[in-house]
Amino acid sequence: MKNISFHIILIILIGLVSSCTRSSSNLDVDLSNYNPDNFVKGELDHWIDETLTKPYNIEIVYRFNRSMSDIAKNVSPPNVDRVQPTAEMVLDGFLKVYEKVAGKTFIRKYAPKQFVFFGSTVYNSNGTETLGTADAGRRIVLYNLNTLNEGDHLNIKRRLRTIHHEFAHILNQLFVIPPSFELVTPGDYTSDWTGKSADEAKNLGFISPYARAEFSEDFAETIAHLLVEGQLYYDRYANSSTEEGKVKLKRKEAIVVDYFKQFFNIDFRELQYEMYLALNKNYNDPTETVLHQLKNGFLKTITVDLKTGSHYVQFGESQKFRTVWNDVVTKLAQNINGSAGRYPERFAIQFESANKMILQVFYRSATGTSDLQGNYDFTITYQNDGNIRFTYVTNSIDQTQYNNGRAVIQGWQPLLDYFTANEFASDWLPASSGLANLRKFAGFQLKDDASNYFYGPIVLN
Amino acid sequence: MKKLWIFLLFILAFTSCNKSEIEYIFDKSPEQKVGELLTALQSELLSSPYGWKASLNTNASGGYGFYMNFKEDQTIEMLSDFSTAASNTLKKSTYRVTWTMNAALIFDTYNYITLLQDPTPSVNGGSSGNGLQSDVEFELVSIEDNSIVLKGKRYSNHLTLVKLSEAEQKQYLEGGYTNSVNSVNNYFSSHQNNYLNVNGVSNLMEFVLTTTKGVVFQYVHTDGSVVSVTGKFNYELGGVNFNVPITVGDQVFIKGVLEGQDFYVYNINNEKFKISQHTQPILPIETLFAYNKTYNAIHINRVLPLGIISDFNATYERSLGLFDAMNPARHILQCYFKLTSATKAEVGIQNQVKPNGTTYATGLATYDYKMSEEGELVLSNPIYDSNFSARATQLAPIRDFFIAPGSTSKKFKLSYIQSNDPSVSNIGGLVEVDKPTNFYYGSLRKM
Repeated sequence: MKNISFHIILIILIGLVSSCTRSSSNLDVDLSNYNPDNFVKGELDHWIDETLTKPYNIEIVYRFNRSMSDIAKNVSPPNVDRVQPTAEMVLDGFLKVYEKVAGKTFIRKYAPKQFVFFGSTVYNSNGTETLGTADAGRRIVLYNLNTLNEGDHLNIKRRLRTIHHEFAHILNQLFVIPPSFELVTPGDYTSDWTGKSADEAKNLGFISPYARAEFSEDFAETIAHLLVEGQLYYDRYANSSTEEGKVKLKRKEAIVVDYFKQFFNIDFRELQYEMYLALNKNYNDPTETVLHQLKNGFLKTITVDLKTGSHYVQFGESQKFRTVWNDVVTKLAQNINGSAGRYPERFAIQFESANKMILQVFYRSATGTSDLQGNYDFTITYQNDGNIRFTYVTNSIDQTQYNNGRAVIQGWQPLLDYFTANEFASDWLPASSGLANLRKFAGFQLKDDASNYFYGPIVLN
Repeated sequence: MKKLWIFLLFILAFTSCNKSEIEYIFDKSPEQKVGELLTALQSELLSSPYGWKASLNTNASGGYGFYMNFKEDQTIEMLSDFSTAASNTLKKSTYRVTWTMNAALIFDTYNYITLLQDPTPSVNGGSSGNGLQSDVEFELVSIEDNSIVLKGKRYSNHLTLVKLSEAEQKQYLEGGYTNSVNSVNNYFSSHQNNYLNVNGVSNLMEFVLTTTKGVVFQYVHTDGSVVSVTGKFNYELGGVNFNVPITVGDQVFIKGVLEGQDFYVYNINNEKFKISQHTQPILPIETLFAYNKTYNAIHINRVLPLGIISDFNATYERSLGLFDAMNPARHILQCYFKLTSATKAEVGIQNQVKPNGTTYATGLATYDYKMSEEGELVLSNPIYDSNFSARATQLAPIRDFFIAPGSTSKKFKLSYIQSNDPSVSNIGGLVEVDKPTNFYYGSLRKM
């Protein structure tokens, strides 16, 4: 019986196999003919191939494809002439920045593989507009290309913020946001963020109103602002918040910095620095230059303390400026108005406004045990090439500091002459202070002599 | 029993999958048909050596005209009557022919077609999120000898492409489109009260091209009602085109053509109707003026419209003089007569410290009214509000024009008023029936 069953099954199997062979090719569908969407490549497409697709395996979809956006909404295709500037922005302001800091492998592995460009924004029912979206860690959709202006760094930065924001979401899909982040401002997230004011968001400790939507948006917004708007912007923003808001903003910053270090071994400060270089180089973004801080009244003081400042030991000092200082030491020790033996301690330049600076000098008398302060007023004039001139302005203000200043001007004359005789370039000095001290020291160097400079720690308004 | 099952299994095994030839309902395989349709559309787009003229209506605005030239490398050159700049600036973009349910033409980078669809209000004057309610994807409807008809995927408006001759292409490319648009506009800015005579319509048929590229045909029907048919137009060389034919009574109009100094409207049988000008607006004022019709108010903005002689001029001047004598001197900011409901009318007068100082609340005089079908209007039972009474001295001349103290009602006739000044048009008046030289007048408005 068993044997018979076996034979029967064998025959059935043969029958099954043979019966299903088909002679007709009805079901041989050539799918390449079925739904063809053939693009003819042009010059722009070849450029994209060479610049983005081959090196980074990134596809740019700029020719209209409705299914790449919300199909229920009207959205326009991009203007052809805006595609390349946008792609360049993605390359210079995003890919290369991460590539430089985190390496080729990182960016090739994690960068979204598809960028979709649309010409207009998407209008939402709550009155907001969508500038970009990120899907599934793979695709970033950028809207509103048609108003991109590569000659305007603010225009570019708004867009780069979107890209960095969306990339932050992609990173979060690889490593979740540290739980501590959500606990910084746990009670202040709201779906009605559009109905809340920007000031309220700031005072509660959010970098933008949108950050209040939910903690993942908060995290992305914090990263995007720290990178694109820069550390100085972030600090100034935090300083203008409430005491509590400031603490929360700084705590969020710390968590972001730690997140990058812990999960991706990326020095966030380096990333910020490269980001700024990219913006400055490609789009003439001046916002993090010392000059910009001066012109906008963001910089309060630079203190130069050659006597006790440990940073001069650590990062070096200008020997040429040291001779000026030594001259002051000599002159101040001479007999002035009947007494000799005074000696200089330090000086500070205090910026009162974009055009006014007070040189504050600190010194002691031969027998004194505490600092005396003298003040000298200067006006600041900006040259067309971005350099600066200081002009000493005498006054007759009857205040101790000004009276002191007038009394011992003979001693400080070499420094006053140094300021008035030279044209200066402002910068974050010295370069040797490294990324750990990013935006902490600033100074001035002679326009034509980079070895003649002074610097000190800064205080921002 | 078991053997029976095995037997059945045998039969099943040897017969079940045995297929005979498939018969296509549409005699070709789906991919073959898809391929053919795509090729047909693509090759047709490339088949016109001198390009195409195209027309497309939008849902939220009027119609738009285009010059298009499709190239093999999926690029396209375009002109449009969207603006003067667009009509003489060749815009290069891309297109492709692809399949989604049907062969479709997609304008896949920005051009004058996508401009209409752009949801940004500042770009095309549409509402935010909607644009002018137009499309960038068009599916194939039909291919004729000289034309292609496609249909917008979302808003379903037809995009009609018609082949151009070499001479026409040359004209499009050498500024002829801009000139054409200007010629048509110039004609209609210098020709007012346009009408045509159509068989079967006893009254004059008014013809209007609106600023939003709409077309209006309207006339008074024999039963006294106003028949108004609207459509949309776009400019093309030498005139205007109605992408969707406009049916008025028995006539189906398809285009308007400027021939020399005259403008003609053509029907579908290629019969032409000359546009003529009337001295007065075509439709009688009583068909348009009512609390719920085209106009409900006669409005004076500070000063009376120029070029009109009426006894009311002196009345208005007297009132202005009295305001001017006040301290500080004032003037009338606006003055209007308005039908507010089926039974109530009001006269509102607002004054202001000269020249742009404090503006006071409008003083209102309210009346009961009755209006006959011939436009005879009887005002009665005036009531003056506190703002009106507070300026009774200054307003007395105007107040007395409508109903003087002591009388209970007054009879007026609605009428169009002609000005000697050619720049002044659309003026309506209330003529005192007992003294036709005395009439209140101003711009006809919907307030």
